[in-house]
Amino acid sequence: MYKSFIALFVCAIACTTFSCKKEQGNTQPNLINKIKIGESILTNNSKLTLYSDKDITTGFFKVYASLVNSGGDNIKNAVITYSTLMQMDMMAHASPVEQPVFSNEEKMYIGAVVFSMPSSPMNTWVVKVSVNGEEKIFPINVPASTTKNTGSYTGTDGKAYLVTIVPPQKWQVGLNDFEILINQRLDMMHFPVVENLQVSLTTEMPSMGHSSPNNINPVSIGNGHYKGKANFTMTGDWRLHFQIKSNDVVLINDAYVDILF
Amino acid sequence: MNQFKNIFILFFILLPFSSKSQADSMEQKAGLLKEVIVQKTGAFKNALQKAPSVDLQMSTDQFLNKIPGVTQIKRGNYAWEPSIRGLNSNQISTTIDGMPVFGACTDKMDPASSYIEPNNLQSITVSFGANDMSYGSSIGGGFNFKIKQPELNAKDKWGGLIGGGFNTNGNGLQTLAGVNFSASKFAVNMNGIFRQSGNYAAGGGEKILFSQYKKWNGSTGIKLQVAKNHQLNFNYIQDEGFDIGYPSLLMDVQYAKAKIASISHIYSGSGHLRNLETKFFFNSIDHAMDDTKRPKESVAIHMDMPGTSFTFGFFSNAEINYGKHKLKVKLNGYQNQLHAEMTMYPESGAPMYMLTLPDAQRQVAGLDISDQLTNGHISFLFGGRMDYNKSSLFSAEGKRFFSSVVSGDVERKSLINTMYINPSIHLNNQLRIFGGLSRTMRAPSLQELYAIYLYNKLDGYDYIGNPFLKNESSWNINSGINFKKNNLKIEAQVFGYFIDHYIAGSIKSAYSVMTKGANGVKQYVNLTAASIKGIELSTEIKINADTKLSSTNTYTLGSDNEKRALPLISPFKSINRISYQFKNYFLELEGIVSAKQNRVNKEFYGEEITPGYALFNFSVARNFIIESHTFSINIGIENILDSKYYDHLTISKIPSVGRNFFLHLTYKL
Repeated sequence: MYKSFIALFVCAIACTTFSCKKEQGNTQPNLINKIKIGESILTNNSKLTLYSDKDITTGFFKVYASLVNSGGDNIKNAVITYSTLMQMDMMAHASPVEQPVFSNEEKMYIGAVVFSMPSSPMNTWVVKVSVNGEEKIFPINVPASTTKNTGSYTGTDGKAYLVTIVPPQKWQVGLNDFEILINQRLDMMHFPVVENLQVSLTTEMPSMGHSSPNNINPVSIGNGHYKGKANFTMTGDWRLHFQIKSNDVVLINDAYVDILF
Repeated sequence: MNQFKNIFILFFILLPFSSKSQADSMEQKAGLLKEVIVQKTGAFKNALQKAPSVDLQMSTDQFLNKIPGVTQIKRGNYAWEPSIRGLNSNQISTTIDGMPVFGACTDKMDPASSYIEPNNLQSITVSFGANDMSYGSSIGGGFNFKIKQPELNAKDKWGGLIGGGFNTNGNGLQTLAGVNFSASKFAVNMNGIFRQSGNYAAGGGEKILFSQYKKWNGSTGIKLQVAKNHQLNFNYIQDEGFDIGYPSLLMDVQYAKAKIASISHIYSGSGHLRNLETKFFFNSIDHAMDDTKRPKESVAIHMDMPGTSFTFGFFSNAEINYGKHKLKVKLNGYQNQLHAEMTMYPESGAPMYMLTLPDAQRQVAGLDISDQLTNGHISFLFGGRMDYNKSSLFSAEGKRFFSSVVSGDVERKSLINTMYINPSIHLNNQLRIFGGLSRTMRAPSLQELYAIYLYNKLDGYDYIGNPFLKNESSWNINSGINFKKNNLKIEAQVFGYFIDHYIAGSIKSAYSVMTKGANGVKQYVNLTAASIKGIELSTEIKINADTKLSSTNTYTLGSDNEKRALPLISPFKSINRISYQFKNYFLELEGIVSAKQNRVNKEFYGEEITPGYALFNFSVARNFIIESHTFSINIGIENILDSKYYDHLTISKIPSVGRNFFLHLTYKL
């Protein structure tokens, strides 16, 4: 009995030590499967690096910001904000962003950006990142996505809305969790989120004309996000149609996004 | 053969491998090449008859077509799907030498019978109800195609056969060859056939496009006497069809390939244990549908639809004689896996891929015990069967695909029980009465459980499986008399299948169709009940020693709990033959009358009325005996009047073959 207590105790110590070591070894940002989209040195010699999960195109993208001081330590408590700007010939406009928050899991600040249109030689996107008041500008090349994953619609109330798919890691046959993000375009620079709308989903295979059964309508989960499930019976091109209502009045009859897998 | 099994056995004795007793005399040997004896016990006793127009060059489909009570669902000029008394292929069991074989096609283009040729076979057993001949649970009997085995100690050490034939309609031809060797401890046979046909012309001359086919089939059997009373058998059949048209359907077949193999040990004794056969088997089927030959405008979307079926298992059958009892005990087990997929290629956009049978698997273990008790004029055959049946999806991909149409736990386990008693009484030498009462059951087929948008051309609906189906079960009764006096034989029988939890499709309105142009989506459900009732009457009159008249008449009625007519039930049908034997000539005139089928239900089952028809066939067979070899010619005309007709069981009302002259030449070494 006594021996086994000792053994247990030794075990516990060993485990704790091991865990600590592991913790220490893990303070660096998790860069597995991340793509670097920009890098800049701040005046205090800290290094700001931006990452995404995949190649940027039009649509919703998580943007990760890593902030490391000159000594190589990860800085957790900076005040970081994102904003976007598309500089066009005669005008400029922004797009919806989600402000970053430090993630203990990824050891980076995670926010998100919606690129609402592709860039071109005359029309260029920048992501502005402000770190403790110091702004850094990252030009981003945004090719058009192969499928339409964000769209702008005029609601029956006369206001303009942006509906954007927040896709899962990977689309597959069967039930897929997904979210959509709904923003109102107040003006060229402001895109507040819209919550508590009623969204109904129908799926379609445009090349076949059929739908799929057992989809689950997205419901508002806050922050402009609506969470639902799409059920795919096969691989190929799918279109998700959303009818969006506000207080049971149709706001947007058919906002849609396309999916290919 | 005992007297009261409700079965039929067709013997193919035209093979060069006939049994000793049949080869005894030259006269009989001469007959071997032209005759198929339909030997039948119980029900259609009268069917013990010669059918000279049937020979090895006919297809298995044509053979089955000759059996009263067997009807065939036609989707073209190839691979007809046999059914028995209106029971569909899911309700009967089909085995090849006791081995379950499941077609790989999701559109039923390849029933097991399409992978065997008459020259593979020794006999076909057709069971019309529950009895001791079955190799699996079913609602009402089934088929067992018995493979021809090489013979030890045959009269001739070597034997062989070659033949060739031609059909004018469709420019069909077939060539076949066989060889066999027999010694005291070792015997082997090998045979092969090649068939092909172009598009046939229906009555009146209309060419039926996409009715062509091409196939070859080869098989070999080896028998070894390993010890006294102990034999080992090896059998292998390979059957490959190519470029097969299905005018009734939206697609054709690029290839349909089967490999069927078995090894068995047979103990035969003279004590209580008469016979003990243990067999291990496997078969694999590879099937691919094809729409590339169809005109562009008729193909809504180009697609590939391959499917595979893989089965392995064993059985062990014991026959025990004990006083007045004849006991049969069978133990069997098998596993079948089905995979079918579809890739659609739209004009623009990405290819679409889905599983239509999502890696479905069935595992069965069964025990079957029957006893035949004879006491004076009365005999009973009674027995029962119990199967443990487990159905599931065996791959993660399959489960994911099926979850897109049906959610929940889709694995299914059940016990299937069958019990039967078949009494028979010989009232006197001329009259026998017989009957049968059974409680039968079957598990839903893997298609009925796990289909994902399988298109059914009959009603135009896409079908979705239902893993929560109940087993279908049935009370079966049949009764009949058998009368034989002088030159007259009469047999009459009535039967009824009273089915509970009948499985049919029910409209699923929330689902949108997958197949372009389909009427909607159905899911398999259990209807509370359905019944199939019928009457069969068969007479045979010997006018004189050379001339014989025979008539077989069948009528079947099927309806469900809502009094709707069940689909694919043949109308009244009468087959009448007059045969005349003159020296070495054998002449036969056959008249087939099929009544109009107006008991149909369009709304629920999608069927339409089928007009009646009458057909006439004529054939002459002649044997020449040259030394000890036999050369035989069989010529004939089918559909003499060139009638344009189709059977009620023909999908899409495609007219059947019009007038056809055939010539079959066979030379037996």
